[in-house]
Amino acid sequence: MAKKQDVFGVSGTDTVIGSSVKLKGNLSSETDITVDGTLVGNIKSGGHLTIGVNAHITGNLSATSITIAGQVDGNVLAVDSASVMETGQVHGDISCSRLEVGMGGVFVGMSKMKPLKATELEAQAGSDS
Amino acid sequence: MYYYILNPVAGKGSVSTLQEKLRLRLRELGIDGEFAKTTGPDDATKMAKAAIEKGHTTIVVVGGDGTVNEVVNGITKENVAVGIIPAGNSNMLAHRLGINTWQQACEVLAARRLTSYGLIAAGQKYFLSTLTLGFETDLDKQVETAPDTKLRSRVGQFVQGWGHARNYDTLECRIIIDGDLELTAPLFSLSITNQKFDNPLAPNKLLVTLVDTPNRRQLTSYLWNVLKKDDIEEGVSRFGAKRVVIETTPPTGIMIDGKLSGRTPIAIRLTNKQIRFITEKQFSTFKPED
Repeated sequence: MAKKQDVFGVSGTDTVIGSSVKLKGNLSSETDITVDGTLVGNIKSGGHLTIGVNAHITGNLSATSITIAGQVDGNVLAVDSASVMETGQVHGDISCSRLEVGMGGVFVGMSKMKPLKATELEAQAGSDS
Repeated sequence: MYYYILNPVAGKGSVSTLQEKLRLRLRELGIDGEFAKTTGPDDATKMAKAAIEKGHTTIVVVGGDGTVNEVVNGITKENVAVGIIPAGNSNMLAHRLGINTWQQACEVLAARRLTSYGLIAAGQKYFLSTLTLGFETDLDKQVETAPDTKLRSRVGQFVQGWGHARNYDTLECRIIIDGDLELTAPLFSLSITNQKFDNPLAPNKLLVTLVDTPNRRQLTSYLWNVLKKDDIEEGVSRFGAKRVVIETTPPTGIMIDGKLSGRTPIAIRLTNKQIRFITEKQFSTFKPED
């Protein structure tokens, strides 16, 4: 069955892994990835990475931006932002430019924040105003 | 000159009644050619090969997905263009190329806009559009799932499908993706397509879609979408790949472009072989991922 046209980009289809799926190995995609299942291995996305509430990842994550609502045992590297949601748990280090941990979210590890460049700060200020 | 391969039993024999009107229209458009009828399974493959050997560079299928798939398996040269005049029970391939009626198909053939698509190899066979296994394939064997605009027929299909789903046992599947990623999951249904058929701007790539065992509410929505040949969104896993090896417990039948074509386990890969289709719009040329 096909996927709806409006979620396609020119680089291809987003990756979605459902809650009943178990993966062993490294998962990578140039597009967005959503994982709600179990994965032992690393995940690398060229876009946004979402770790769903049912997900359990044993491995490292890297993406442009990352949202975590499930459990991650491994390090997290986001070029831009990393968000640990209320149901999220991270046991590992997080490297990113912007970090958010929601009320109830668990983060056990070190955070390495990359300071924003002046141009990025200006852009951020512009978007906030 | 165009070479037309007609499947006389396609669309429950509708091709035969269409033939005269079709030839007249093709003549008006200046694209009349040689016509040949298939007489049995895999005949279209042999006919396509023979036509290419005789020097034809345009092969047009008058039939459904099964006949197109047979012709695709007979295309031996890359300079050959393939056209489709949809006249089968299932015409998904034509629809995905933007062709919905035989009248429109004639106009499309005359305009001759070409788009290349990568072929997918499933075991020893090639296919273009869709491979399915699991419930959807089983349903196709049990229930006439051709899209039907009549509400009564649709409801009849739905009731049959629902009854069949209640007795369907979910499969256990193991998929090796690109040689190093192993996926295991309970499997209700699986499909593999070339993502370029859904999005002509995207590169040629296998798009693997797994459907988890649906609950009652999801099953209603799922069945409706399957019978409409429409998209399924809930309980779905989806990923891209260049090659996959699929095993199921127990082994199960595989359907390729509407035709039963072997059983699991099976290796499926995107090849560098391409087919030039005459399409409603022209998109980018073939860009292999490998």
